[in-house]
Amino acid sequence: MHLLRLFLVMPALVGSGLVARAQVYLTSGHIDLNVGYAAPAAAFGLYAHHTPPGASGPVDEPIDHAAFFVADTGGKFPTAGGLLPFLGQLGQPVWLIPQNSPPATIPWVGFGGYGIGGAEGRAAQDLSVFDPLPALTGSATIPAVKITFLGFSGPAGADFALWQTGPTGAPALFFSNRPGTTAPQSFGLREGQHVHFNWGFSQPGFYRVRLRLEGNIGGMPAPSRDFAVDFAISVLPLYEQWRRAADRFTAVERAAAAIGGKLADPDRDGLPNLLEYALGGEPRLPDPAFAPTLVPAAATPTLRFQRVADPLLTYAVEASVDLVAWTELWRSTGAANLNGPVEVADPAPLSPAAPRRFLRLRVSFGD
Amino acid sequence: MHSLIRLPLLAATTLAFSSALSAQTELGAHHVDIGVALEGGALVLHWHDETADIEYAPGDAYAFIPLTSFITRPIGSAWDFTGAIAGGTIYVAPQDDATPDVIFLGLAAEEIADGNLVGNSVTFSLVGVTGPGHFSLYLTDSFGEPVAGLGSASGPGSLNFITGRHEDYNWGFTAPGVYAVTLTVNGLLNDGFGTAVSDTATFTFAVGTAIPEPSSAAALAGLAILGLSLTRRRARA
Repeated sequence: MHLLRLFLVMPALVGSGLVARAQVYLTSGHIDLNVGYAAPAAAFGLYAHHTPPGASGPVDEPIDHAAFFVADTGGKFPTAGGLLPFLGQLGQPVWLIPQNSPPATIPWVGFGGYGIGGAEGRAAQDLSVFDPLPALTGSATIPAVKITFLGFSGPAGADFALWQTGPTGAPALFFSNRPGTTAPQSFGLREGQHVHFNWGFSQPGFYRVRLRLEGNIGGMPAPSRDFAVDFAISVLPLYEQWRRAADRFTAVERAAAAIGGKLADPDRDGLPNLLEYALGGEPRLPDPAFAPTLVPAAATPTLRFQRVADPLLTYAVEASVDLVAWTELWRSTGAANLNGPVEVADPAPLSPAAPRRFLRLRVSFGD
Repeated sequence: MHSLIRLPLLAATTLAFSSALSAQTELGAHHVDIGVALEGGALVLHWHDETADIEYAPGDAYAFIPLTSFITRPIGSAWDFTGAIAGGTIYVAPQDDATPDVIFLGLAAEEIADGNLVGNSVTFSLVGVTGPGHFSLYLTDSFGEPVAGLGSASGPGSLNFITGRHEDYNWGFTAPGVYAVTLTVNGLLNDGFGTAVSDTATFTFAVGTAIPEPSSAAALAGLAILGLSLTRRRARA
């Protein structure tokens, strides 16, 4: 008689290559989304270019490690919805990062074509290898890249827009989710350029704006991977609130990926911080008991774990017979996420012909 | 060191007051700020070419705005501060950097770190404007409404400005020609006494016209002064 074997694979963090996002929420100050290009590797970089408090000069934080928080104070315009035809509903609130005169209570986010480690045209890994884009920038001589808006995820029914106003006040719309607008969904950024836009959001919540960078080198297109820029509007995501509560992490620790990052495991109990959060554990208290377990004596293999009511989390239970090909058995995200225990049964029977099954829990955030 | 730095700047400023012909370097098609620095306990106004990372004393450079960069003044009394009639022409260095061959010009106090001045702020005041038309400095907000800053049509005015920041403005002029715009910046040192500090300088704007070459005498005077002065070249922080 064959021994039936069931394996529990340690929980996994998965997120389409975005697993280590947003270590730091930038809540104020002047930040530029800075574009760099490493020619030898043909790789674009997108950075939050800013000077942290107490720092002697600007740093380029990879955008995957940064996010922006727009507080109501300074960012909320209670009845401004609909004043612009592409943003919000008439008389409803909207949240803005303004092109001009930002209040000190929100981050002032612009764009920079500085290259890595530079400022305004003086940098390594800069944009000098690119052809000009006269149709987009108006310059037939200055190298430039195209920044394209691929879309965004955010609260249901929300609007997102990026626009400028000029000396007459007429808005020039660049990015918009609204059908029927004339938004080109792209703009050109010149080498060394520093420019600000209005960023508009029509509802509180978490927004992930997806961008692609592209230039031409000797007439040949050179596209980037997709980048995501995260904004928390009005309220910080529950995960970020959890990191800041109960003295779990100091501001310095939150900024240190090896301690406060989603993949860090400062208490060394095998559960990285995001799983500690998603499974109801504590990141500074070794508590491996929060890892998923198999339900004893269940009729079929059944995985048990704690879930938290965070709509930005996605839980997925998957099964495999060979640890290579995985089949999703169950998924929970959005409003379906409720506080409390969950049990997910594997319907496939174990048999002498199929004696092994592996189960795993995948948790991703915000994707 | 304080006096060694300030004296030549004052001399250059004096020359600029006497004649706009002293302005030598044309600033166009770059991102430029009229900046204020705190050097040796004194506020110092200057041009800062951000694109080239070169600073100039006020009298050593001028901003050029081509006649192709203009708007038609919108209707509505909210635009009266420009000094243009509704439907009139305003030549402008725009706030949005939409045209790469036109200067993109701001005000800046980003060289002054927090904690140096009371309230972390300075005040820019428009002292005087000479030129063939009106001058205005303004913004349009996220909804397109004009926000007046400083302007000759509305008389002397001031603008509070937070240190550590910069802001790009619309710089409007209602007629072609050469303008001399005199600004004063004020602040209070955070030295326990609130010592008042200020600087006044004149900045030249050429709208659609090149600044003529200086006369021989003026050139010689300028050379003599430049021999004493420091061209402000500093790496950006």
